[in-house]
Amino acid sequence: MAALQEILLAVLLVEAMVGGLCVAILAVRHLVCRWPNVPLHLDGTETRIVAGGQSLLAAVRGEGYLLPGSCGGRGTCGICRLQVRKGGGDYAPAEEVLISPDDLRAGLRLACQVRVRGEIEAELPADARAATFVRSLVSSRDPLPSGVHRLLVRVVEPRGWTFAAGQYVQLFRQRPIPGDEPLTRAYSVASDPACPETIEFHIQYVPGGEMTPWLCGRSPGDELWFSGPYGGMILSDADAGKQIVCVAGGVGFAPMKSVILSLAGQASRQTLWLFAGAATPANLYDHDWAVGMAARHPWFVYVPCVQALPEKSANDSGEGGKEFEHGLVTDALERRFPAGTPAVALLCGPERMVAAARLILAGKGLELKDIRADTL
Amino acid sequence: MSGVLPGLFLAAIFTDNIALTMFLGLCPFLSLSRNLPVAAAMGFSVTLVMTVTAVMDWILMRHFLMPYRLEYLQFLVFILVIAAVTQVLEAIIDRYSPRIYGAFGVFLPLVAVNCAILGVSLFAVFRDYGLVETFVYALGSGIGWTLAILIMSGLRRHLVFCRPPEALGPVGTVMTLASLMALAFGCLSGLVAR
Repeated sequence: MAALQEILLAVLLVEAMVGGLCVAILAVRHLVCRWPNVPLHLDGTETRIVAGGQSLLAAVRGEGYLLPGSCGGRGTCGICRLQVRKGGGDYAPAEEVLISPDDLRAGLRLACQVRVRGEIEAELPADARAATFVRSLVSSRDPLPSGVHRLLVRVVEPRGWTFAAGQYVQLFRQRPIPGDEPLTRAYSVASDPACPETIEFHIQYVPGGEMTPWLCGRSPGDELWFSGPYGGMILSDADAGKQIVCVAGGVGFAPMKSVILSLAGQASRQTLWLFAGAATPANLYDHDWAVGMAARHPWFVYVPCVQALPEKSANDSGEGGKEFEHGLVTDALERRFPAGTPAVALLCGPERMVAAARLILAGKGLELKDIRADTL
Repeated sequence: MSGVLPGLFLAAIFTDNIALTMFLGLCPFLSLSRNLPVAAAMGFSVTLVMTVTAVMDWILMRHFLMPYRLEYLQFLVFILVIAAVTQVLEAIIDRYSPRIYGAFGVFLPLVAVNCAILGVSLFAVFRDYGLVETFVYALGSGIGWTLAILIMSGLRRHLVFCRPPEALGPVGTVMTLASLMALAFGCLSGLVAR
C-alpha cells in the first residue's frame, strides 16, 4: 500500500510540475510575446494592417495572396522569395544559404524567414498576385517504366483558369484551408496552355516521401487541389526571333513539353533545342513523343542525353544507343549548341545541372536575363 | 555563513570553474566561442538560466522531493525545470532582442541540454548548500563559465595570426587551447579556501 502511495505521489508530482511549467510558459508567451499590429505595405499601392510576430509568409497568405512555398515555412525550398524594401530585420542563416549575396543586398528575402515586427514594405511577385486556388479531378494516372507517373487532371473550378507554357503550380495534399500551413509541392505543367482545362503533371515517385506516394496513389475521379500558376520561366514577345534552348534533367522535361506544344500550335517558328538528360534511356520517359515531334517539326532539334548507354542485345542491329548523346546533358549542350547564337534559355532540373548549364550558356554569349531557370 | 559566501563565489569562478575543472558545458563552449559578442550573449544566457534553475531546483528539492522521499526524481524534475526556463528565456530574447535571437539560431534551445546547468543544480544538492549558498554558487559558476568562453573566444581571435600544426585541424587546435586554459586554471587551486 505504501509503495502504491509512493508511485501515485511521484506521478502526481511530476504531472503537476509539467502542468505548472506549461502554464508558466504559455503565460509568459501570452504576456511577453504580444506584438502590436503593424502596417504591411504591398507594392507601394496598398496597406494592410497585420498581426505582428508572425512570419511575412503567413501575413501575406493571411491577406489572401498565394505566395508559393513547399517546405512549410522551414526555409529549405527557397520558393517564397519576395522583395522587401523596408523593415524585415536581419537575414536568417537559411537566407544566406539560399539567396545569392547580390540578391540579398538588393532586398530579396525568403518570406518564411522574415518576422513581422514592425512596418514592412514588400513587393509581391506578379505571379503571387495572379495565382488562385484550383479544384480539379484526376482523369488518369499512368505509371511509366522509369518511376515517373503521368497524371492528367481536369480543372473544375475556377472556369477559365489559364497558365503560360513553362509555369508551375503547387499541388496540395488536402483541401487548402485559409490560415493553415498545408503540405504542398511544386510541379511544372507539362500540357499545352491552349487547352488549360486539361493539365498534365509528371511526378517522380520518391519512396517514403511525404507527397509523391500519396500523389501516385490517386485514381480517376479523385479531387486534387492546387494553386497557381507560378514561375517566370516563360517566353515573352521580346523573345521572338531568338532561338530557344531548353535544358531538362529528369522530370524537368515537363515544362519543356508544355513549351514545345505551345510553340507547335503557334505560327512563329523559332528554332527550339531540347537537351533532355537522364541516367538511362528508360528514364527519358517521353522519348518517343519527342522523336515524333522532331520528325514532324523541322524547327525542333531534340538532343536526348543519357549517362549509361543501353547494352547491345543480340537482335540489335548495332544502332543501339546511336540516337543518344552519351554523358551529362551539360556536356552535350557544350558540344552541340553553337556559340554566339542569339537565344533565350529555359533550364529545369537538379540544381547542379542548372548551375552548370547557366555557366555554359553565359560562356556562349547568352545574356543573363535570357537564361530562365527552375530547379527541382 | 555570510563569511563563507565570498569564498564560495570566487571558488565557483576560478578554482572550481565548471567548464575548465569540471569539463561541463563544453559543447557550446567550443562551438560558440568563435565570435566574442555571441560568446558574451551565450555566457549571459547560461548564467541567467543556471542561477534561476538552481534556485528553483533547490526549492523543489527541499520542499517537494525530500519531504516525500522522492529524491530519485531529481534528474527528471531538474531537466524539466531547465527546459521550461530555457523556453521562457527564448521567448523573452525573441521579443526584446531579435538580433541576439538571430545570432543564437539553434544554440539558444540548446542551453536546455547544457550539462553545466544540470551539473550546478546537482552539485548544490550533493554538497548540501542552503538557498543563499546555492544562489551564490550558481551565479559564480555562471560567471565562471562566461569567463571561460570569453577567454576562449579572445584566444581564438588570435589564432588568425599564428599557424598551429596542421595535423591538429580546427577542432584539435581548440581542444588544445581549452586544455591549456584548464591547466592554467588548475594553478589557481588553493587560492580560495572554500
